Amino acid sequence: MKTLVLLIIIWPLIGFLINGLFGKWTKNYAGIIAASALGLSFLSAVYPIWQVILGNIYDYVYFTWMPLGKFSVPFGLRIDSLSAVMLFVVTFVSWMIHIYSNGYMKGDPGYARYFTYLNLFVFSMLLLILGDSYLLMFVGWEGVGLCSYLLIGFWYDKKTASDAGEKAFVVNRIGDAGFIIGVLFILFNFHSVTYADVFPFVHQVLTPETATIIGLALFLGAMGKSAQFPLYIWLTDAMEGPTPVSSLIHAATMVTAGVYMVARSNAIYDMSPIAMEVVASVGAFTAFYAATMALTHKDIKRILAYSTLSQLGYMFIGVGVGVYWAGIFHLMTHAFFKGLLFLGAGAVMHSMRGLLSTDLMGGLKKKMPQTAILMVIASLAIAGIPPFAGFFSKDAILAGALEMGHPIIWIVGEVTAFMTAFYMFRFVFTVFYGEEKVPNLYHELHVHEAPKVMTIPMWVLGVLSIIGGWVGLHVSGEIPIEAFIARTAPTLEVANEAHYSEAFLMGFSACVGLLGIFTAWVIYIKKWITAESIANTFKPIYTLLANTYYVDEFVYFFIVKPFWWVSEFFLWKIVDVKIIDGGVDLFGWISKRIGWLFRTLQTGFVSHYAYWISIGVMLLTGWYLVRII
Amino acid sequence: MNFLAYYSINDLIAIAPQLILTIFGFIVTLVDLWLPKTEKSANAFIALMGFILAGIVSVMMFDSGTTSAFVGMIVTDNASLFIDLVIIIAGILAIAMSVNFVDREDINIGEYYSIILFSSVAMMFFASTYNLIVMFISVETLSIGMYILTGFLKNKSESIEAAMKYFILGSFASGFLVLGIGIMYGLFGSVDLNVISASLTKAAAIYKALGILAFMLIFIAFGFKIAAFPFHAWTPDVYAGAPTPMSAFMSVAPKAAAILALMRLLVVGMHPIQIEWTQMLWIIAAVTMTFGNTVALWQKDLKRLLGYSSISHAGYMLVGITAANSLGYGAVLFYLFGYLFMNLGAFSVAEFISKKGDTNTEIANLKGIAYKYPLIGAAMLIFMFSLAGVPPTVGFIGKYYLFSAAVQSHLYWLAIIGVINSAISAYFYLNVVVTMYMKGDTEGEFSILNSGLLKTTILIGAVGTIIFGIFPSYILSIALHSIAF
Repeated sequence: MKTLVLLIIIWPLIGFLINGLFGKWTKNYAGIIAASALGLSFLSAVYPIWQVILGNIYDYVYFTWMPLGKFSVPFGLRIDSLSAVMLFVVTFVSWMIHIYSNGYMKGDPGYARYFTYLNLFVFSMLLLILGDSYLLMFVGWEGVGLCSYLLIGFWYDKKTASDAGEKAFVVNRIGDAGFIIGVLFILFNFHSVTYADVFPFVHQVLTPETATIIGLALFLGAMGKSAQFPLYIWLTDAMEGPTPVSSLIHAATMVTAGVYMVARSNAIYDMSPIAMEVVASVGAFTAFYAATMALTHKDIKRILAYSTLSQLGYMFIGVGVGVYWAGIFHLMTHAFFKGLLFLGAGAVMHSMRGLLSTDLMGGLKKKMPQTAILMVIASLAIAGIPPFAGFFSKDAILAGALEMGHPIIWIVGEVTAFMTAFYMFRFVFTVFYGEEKVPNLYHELHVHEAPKVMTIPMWVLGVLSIIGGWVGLHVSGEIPIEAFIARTAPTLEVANEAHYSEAFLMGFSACVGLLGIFTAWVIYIKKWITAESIANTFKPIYTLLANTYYVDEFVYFFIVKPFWWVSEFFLWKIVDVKIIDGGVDLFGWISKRIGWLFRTLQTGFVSHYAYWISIGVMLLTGWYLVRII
Repeated sequence: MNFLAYYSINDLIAIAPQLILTIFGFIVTLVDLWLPKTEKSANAFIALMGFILAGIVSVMMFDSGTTSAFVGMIVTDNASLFIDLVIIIAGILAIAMSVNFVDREDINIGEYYSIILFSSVAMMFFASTYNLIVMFISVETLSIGMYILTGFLKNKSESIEAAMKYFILGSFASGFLVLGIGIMYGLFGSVDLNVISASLTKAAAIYKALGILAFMLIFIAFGFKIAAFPFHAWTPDVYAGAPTPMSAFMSVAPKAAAILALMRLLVVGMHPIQIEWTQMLWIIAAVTMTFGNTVALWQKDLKRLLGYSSISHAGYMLVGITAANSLGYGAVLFYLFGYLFMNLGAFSVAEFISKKGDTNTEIANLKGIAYKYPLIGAAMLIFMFSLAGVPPTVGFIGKYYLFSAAVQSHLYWLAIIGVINSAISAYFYLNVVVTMYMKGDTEGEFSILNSGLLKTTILIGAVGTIIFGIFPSYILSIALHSIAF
């Protein structure tokens, strides 16, 4: 068993090493190797996950990684109910994306390089979720950061791509700083970073104040990695990478890391109502804010990117109000349908030769019937229509928010749900339904259904987008997924929990979703009201939204530009050139002078060398004699 | 007198690794007589087998307790077995480096390998005794082997000159050693360090003072062997002149043996005067590091650079001994283990670019090599980073433990000097990397020693440097566990 658990993370590492070292030779087999590695990883995970479902917890220490005096870091992997859910999502969804990539990346000159990064990405993510200490989580955390940088900038000869890679890296670093501070605080307080040494003792060691500091610092890290306001700006540019990478980043790995980390640290957050309030509020704000931006966009990948931000916001509402299970549950269902949405968008792009604008599409259903059906399924799931997966998880979060006493967040969540349903179906209706907008374009581009290697993984995710939420149904008085996750991340206990009729809340949510779809149908299919007339009526709002609130411009003029200025005229020309370089030069100069003096001793004459030995003898003995006399 | 009354078969078991190497040394000598000139490489494989067998035996003997053999003259414990293993791995890698090299230089004769084997035996004895006379005999035996190997390039005047210098200065240093041992014996009536230690504890002040002077004389020979300032002067000349595989071997194996013998001398024998020797070692460590690193800044030849760098690394290891705590001693053993991979690797790269006559090892000749031979370039980058102490290499983690041992003993200034020295050293190590990667691509062909075994050595060195840098705990725990004194 111990070996089996280790194998889960070893397989992608082997795939990475094979493709990384022998990429020249593996060439066309690189994709098969990488996908097999992930398949084996998933298969290795099945039995441990099953055992965890039956009630076991695994925590294996393989070796002491780095003994540093009193403090040592064991390399241990832990599978409990929380990491089991993550493990399933990461290995399975990533596996599907690997298979899909075999078709999508076919013929790309960087084929082997692509799969090398992809395997390393999944390896890092597995280390992040399975590691049994904050330090291992941090190693994985940085690993996914690095890989996302490499993958977003995969087509590095494209300027926008390499810029986007850098942007992702820099913004993530800001969050990482917070994460490091949080981990250091944990280290100071607990003298260990292993979960088993931290969580059971939270009440003895932490005060609400220290818990707040740690919670907020860690959340800063989560904001960077999981793209919450205002550290979300990298995610929308991350579209520059190959589409399956977006699918991997948005669905299975990377952005879910922050949610996982908060859920993992539930013991710390439970102690700090302030930190939780911040998490939930930032989540709610991001959910709403991102959804408004998705309303007007015409680039299909960006629409999906904003919807990811919005859905991540839901997850943070879930973990922020204390219903950790609901946040993780939504993470899981979201992985299925968002993975599918991106793969579907990839399929569209693939056949449209990289064109992204909805203005050029319409009526694609005739050309790509399978993709169209799958996209409708995924959109129903994200819109929260029963019995699709997203309905159950979203409802669990919103009902949880209401029960925990956050009615405002509930209202924001429902409004966002309406917008979600609307923009997703605006997307579906304008791309797949209606008439071809540019005559003969499809004919010229030879638009066709994606090959089997791409559609099969999509169908698998499609099925999961339907049934994946059913673990959230009541079975003999309890919700299976709630009971399962709550073993590790128990729901926060509040004194005066409010009770609402569950059936009413569910019905209400479903209606909100349907209303959103209906509105989209009215505007984009029936055209009773045209989109243009709405845009014209609310011109200022429309412009603001279409330009995504001018946030990128704001960041550029008020943060990036002053920063450059300070860097150039103060840090570079004064601090760096004068003080640091000068200091280093001086230090080098002194060292070289000392060396020059010493060097004169090295004459090459044996007699001189012998003198030196003799002088050494005299100095040693003389020094001692002087001391004792 | 009945000889067998004093010795038993157990004595032979305690020296099994030495015995195996001795036997293989004789086999090489004998087989060599029948080998035709073109088949001399067979010697190398016999010697390799001997080393591998000895290596297996010493690993098997590990953790079987401390054995005292030959009426207490030989002591086999975990520390000596650890050093045996370092010597054996160094021997294996040095022989792998040698096979094609000696062919090219036309010095492919059996003695080359048998001397490596015999001097390794002497090193192992040097590391496994508390007896000053045994130390003296083994240090002489190993040195004679080293003198011969240094001068093995009989057509190269630098090689002969280096051997001569080494021999004269070595004999000079040995003179002090004998003198020191003589005074010790005169004072305390024993050459056994345990007895000397006990006598020194209860000795009258004047005897103690004389004992310290005798110790200093003995120390000189050790300082000479590990190349500590001001007894280091032979090092650059010898490393530059000797055949490259032997420079590599010499920079690790005899040093490893001498370091452990020095620890036995200091920690066990001179325990009563620990205050004095830590003060003395403090200064020597600081000056040795600074000397090695600052002079290395001026070097143009890779082998010479590595010569000075080995002086500075002796200084780092002395920091661990000066700390005088078990972390320091363990860290020294760990450092030797790591140093083995990075230094032999770096010398292998020097050999890789050398021309017939063992010349052409200037740093400038590395220009653009990273483009022509990317793997060799990457390996050299790893060695240089490790020697400079950049994570995640074994050089970093080794230095980290050495300096943290110093901090543990409140030797803050020594640790600071060590860190400053690491910064200085980064300059000349990175200069090598810059030459390989950033001075442009050379159009011309490289004259290289194209040898599969040599490339394997480089690869082993690089892998060892990285693996033990990322996962140091296993070797470190063995090293810490080996220190029983």
